Amino acid sequence: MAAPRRPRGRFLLLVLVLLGVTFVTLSDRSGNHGAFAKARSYANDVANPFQSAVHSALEPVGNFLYGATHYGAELKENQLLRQELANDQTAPVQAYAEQAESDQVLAQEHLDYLAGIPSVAAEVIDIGSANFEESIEINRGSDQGVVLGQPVVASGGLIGKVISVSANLATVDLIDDPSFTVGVRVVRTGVVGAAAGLGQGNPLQIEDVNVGAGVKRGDVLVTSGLQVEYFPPGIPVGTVSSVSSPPGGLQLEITANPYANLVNLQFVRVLLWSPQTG
Amino acid sequence: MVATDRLTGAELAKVVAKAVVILLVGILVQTCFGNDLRVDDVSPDFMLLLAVCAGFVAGPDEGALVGFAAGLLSDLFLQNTPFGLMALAACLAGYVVGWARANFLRPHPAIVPVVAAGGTALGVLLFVAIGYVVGQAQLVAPGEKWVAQVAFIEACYAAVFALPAAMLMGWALRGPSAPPSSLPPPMRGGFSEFSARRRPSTPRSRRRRRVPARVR
Repeated sequence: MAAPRRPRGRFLLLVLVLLGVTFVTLSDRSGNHGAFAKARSYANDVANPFQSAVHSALEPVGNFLYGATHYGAELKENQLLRQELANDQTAPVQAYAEQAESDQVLAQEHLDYLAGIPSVAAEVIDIGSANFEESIEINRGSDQGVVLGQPVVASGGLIGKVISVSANLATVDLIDDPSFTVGVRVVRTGVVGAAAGLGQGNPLQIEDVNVGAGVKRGDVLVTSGLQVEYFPPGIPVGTVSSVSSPPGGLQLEITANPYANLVNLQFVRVLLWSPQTG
Repeated sequence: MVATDRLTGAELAKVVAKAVVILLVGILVQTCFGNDLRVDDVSPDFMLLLAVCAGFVAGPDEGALVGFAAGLLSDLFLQNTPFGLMALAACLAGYVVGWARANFLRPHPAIVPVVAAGGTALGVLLFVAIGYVVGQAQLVAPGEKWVAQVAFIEACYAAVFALPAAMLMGWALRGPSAPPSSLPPPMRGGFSEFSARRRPSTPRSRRRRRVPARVR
């Protein structure tokens, strides 16, 4: 006689699915302030020392894989570097690298849009390993005054906002992450819209700009700083790279290239600014 | 099959402890190594791979349980998606692979990479699909091509790391009476013993016989 089929399997799956849906709902409703966000913050704190150690040990492997998959770009960059080196044979390479690093830090110190806004410099210590998120981790946290939602800039302009904070670490959602949206203003015309990320390597998408707004390729975009915005006004965001008007559409299709180089970030600056305190 | 319901308390605790250790090591490997192993901007997902392998070596129940736990650990290190989304996707992927293994897949080591690749791709697609349903439109914002690229590269990575992952999950989830081999032995008949036990053939006596019509 055949053994009766146990109902346990489907019941277990049902329980797990219901548990998962409950977690998703609670997490979605609590946003970045609930117990799940705290758990994520603690998890990052615990894993960070291991990540740093392993990351530094495995950097050659990562560089090898990056080189293998970006061979063409690396080849071009190598040629460019050789050319630069040939132009200035007297400058030692080490000094050049150190100078570049200090230039990057100094460039942030003299950003005019930082005037009047207190800020804290931070070093990028890790890049997010998730495939559907564009984020970085920095070595400054709540002990240094960093709180959720604060804007983060680099020498080129806005790079993102703080989405997770622990004592000495913070996670920054980059501007090209598909979940990132920031209100922008076209400097030349004053037209406002919203810039949204479309993933790594893709330009920003500028939404909510009506046909006839007079936006042109090359226009400079800065944060709008409107009343409902989480960013102070005037931070450079990018330049308009394409404008098209869809037939019958009411809004322009605009893309923009971010000012900041989001690929090789080393030093960034967190603006200790919030909509309430200004 | 683990048959955890037949294990004593101590044996069950041992199995759970081993599985927990492997998952904790897995999440450390994922968060520490994952970013360094990016190919075309896509990193492997070792936790999803462990869930799929758990389903393959142990069955649907264990695949779902390990997948849920592995997904929860992964969710701790994600920032832009709600907590529990990866747990849902990995749980379903582990269950589906376990169900497939129980019903029509040959338990042979040679197919482990293929199953791991398929299960991982399924997990990625489930993650995106469920996320989209619960309002995470940013997951599909970069376009279908990006989703396909992530699923494909993660599947390739899963195929590469499938055998060690399956051996680890086999070591963790097998009870003390299991054979020393980390993978189930290949069956002669082409179907797993799980399949044979769960889907017994209908007794001959109960089959309808075709009775020839009487001819007067």
